[in-house]
Amino acid sequence: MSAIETPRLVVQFGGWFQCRLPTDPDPTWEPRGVSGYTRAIGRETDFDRVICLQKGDIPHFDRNYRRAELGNPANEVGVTVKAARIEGVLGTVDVLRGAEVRLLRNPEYILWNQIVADGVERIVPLVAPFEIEIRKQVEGGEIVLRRYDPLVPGEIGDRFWEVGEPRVYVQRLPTGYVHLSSEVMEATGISDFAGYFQMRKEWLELEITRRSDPVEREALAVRLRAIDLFSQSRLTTSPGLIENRLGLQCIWEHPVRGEACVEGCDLLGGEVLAGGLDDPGLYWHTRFWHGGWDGDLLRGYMQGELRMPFRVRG
Amino acid sequence: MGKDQGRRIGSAEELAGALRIAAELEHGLCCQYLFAAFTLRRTLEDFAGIPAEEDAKRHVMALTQAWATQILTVARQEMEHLAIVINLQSALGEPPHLARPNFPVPLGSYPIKAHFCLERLEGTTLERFLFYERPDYLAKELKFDDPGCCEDKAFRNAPPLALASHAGLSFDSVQELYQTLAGAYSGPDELPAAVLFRGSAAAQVQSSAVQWAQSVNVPPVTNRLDAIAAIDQVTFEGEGIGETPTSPSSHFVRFAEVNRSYVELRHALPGVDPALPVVCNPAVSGAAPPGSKQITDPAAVLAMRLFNDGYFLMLAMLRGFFEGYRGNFGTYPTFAGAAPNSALFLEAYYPFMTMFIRPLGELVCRLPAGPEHPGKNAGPGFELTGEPPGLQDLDWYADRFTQLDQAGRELHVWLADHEATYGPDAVLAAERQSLALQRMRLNLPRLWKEGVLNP
Repeated sequence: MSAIETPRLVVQFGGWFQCRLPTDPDPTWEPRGVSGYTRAIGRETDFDRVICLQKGDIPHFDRNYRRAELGNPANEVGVTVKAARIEGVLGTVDVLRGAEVRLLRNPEYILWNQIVADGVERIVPLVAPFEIEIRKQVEGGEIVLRRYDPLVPGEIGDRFWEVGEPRVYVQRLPTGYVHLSSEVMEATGISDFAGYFQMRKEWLELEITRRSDPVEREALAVRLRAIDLFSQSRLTTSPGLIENRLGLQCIWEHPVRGEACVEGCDLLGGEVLAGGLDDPGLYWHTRFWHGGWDGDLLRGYMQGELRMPFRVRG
Repeated sequence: MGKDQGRRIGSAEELAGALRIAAELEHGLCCQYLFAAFTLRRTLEDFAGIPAEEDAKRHVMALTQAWATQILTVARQEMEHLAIVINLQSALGEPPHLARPNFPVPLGSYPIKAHFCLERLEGTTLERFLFYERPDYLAKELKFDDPGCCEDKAFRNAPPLALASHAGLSFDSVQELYQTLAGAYSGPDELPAAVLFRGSAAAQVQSSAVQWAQSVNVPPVTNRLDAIAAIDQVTFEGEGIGETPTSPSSHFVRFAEVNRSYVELRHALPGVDPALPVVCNPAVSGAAPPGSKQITDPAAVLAMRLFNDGYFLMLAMLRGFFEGYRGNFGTYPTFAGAAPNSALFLEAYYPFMTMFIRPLGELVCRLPAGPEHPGKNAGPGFELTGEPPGLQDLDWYADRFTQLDQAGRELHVWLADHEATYGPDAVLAAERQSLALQRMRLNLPRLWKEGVLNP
């Protein structure tokens, strides 16, 4: 069967993720945030920079999971499958709905203050390492669809610091970058950026009065100050930095070519196919975006899809 | 020369001298502020060995985080002020002046009555910073009897340096220096426009034209109004001049806030020192001036030499950028075809300050100084051996990046081989520094030849 004739299992996912990271002009490995708009506060551990798509995967969850006002959608972290279908086949693959989506191997945004992905006035990082996993426990077994993509197949692998020519991994760089994305606003439901952070500030003010622990109070005060500082704009008509990031959208679209793990295909009514690096017809493909970045909660929204060659049973 | 005479600039040569002083002051202040910020204890690991409850340490961490924000903001603005002075130099047809005397600079070397010292953050340090940035109307209120760097009494009476840049000018404060400079551009003592603006207007660097970060505002200077506005910007951002009583974001007000918070902390928790025990004016150069402290720990020496070499290269890249700039920075977002300007700027400004000067400076402050300084840590010396050269060819910069890359690897290997002595955090920091240098070395030729990759 040729690559063109192979139908695809298309899995669409979305949800909030967490990433505790410093922001420019802080250096990439700044532990707690000083010059950028993000801060590690109170009893939180130092920044780990890891993109966590599931609540349970957040290191030191009890200390590192911030909260916002009730009703804020970003209070809940979890990227899950929203829909799945097989191209050319009527109906949907409902068994995958709600499956957890993960990026494994502790991936980070790799920009290194413009050393690695040298965008100017743009945020165009790699996500590396890249290994995507869709997993769901169902009656009768577990479905696991997992595949890794090496940044540069062969000797270099994910050691991007050894590459002076970014064209070598250009397909892993973002294909799009939007400052005020309507797609993001639609997905997050947040369009009044100033109002969003005004509510946060009021909630933080209230929350400070409710806490008796001085470390917690101080931590909340740091959050409040950071929002205040980075909500200000020299141009009154444009949003401040922290507000601006709520509309940010960074889009990646690339094949996923490396080693794969496929389990529980019987439950899908067919077989997900994966070959080696030398078999482009069996590459998986992903398109996803990260955006709606809340620099106070250190959370963003992820939405996208994973397309996998699929052989329908029977 | 009398004081009143000293306040008047009477010729292009005197203006050139005054601008060189201004460049040295801005540059020297920036180094001192960075040094102090690097010495702050900012993680739990920085409090190792200090007998205090974890909550108390976390309280101090919240404070030092806020202080570092303020101090680094000021340091960044000193860099902006240096760029403004370079534009004024360029307008005059003078090259950028990026040399400065090594630390410590004795009292009397500059007309303002304070030493220039690299010292960790403590009460005297903040008083010194407030003195540097004070608006003149507070001069009588804010007395500062400079005790010498880190209260080193022996150095207190060291003879002043005979600086070539001195130009015989007299001023009591940075504000007064800039007011004197302004007199050359406007007023009864103004110099002819044909002298003030004999440099190429195309060589004026404008922050918006080179995609400088939004918080940095460097305006071009092509006429008297531009020059006065640029000078006013410096004193507005520094001393808060232009608003009554002062701008809330001025350097002076920022330092005043840090000082108040520092004093409160020392009263509340006298046993918890918020700064690492970093020696005063650390040095590794054989030609270090009197009053400096020679560092002997082998890892610290490797790290400090790496720092000094990288700092020199950064200044050389900045000088090359400013000297070579003729308004051609290429087209956003690739900047292709504008080499070497864009390449030097994008290497020196974007990553080098954030991914070399700061992380390596912070690492050095966490390494021991050597057996001659028991219980003390080393620090980045910002040691210069002379004026960084003007624009060079690609090979010159590439060779120095190769040397830095090699030195970065050696530092990492040394620390890894002696991890039991220096600890895993130092090894990790050195490894990251080495990787960043490796990648920066590889980036330069591509940036030089092709500009930014546009993904």
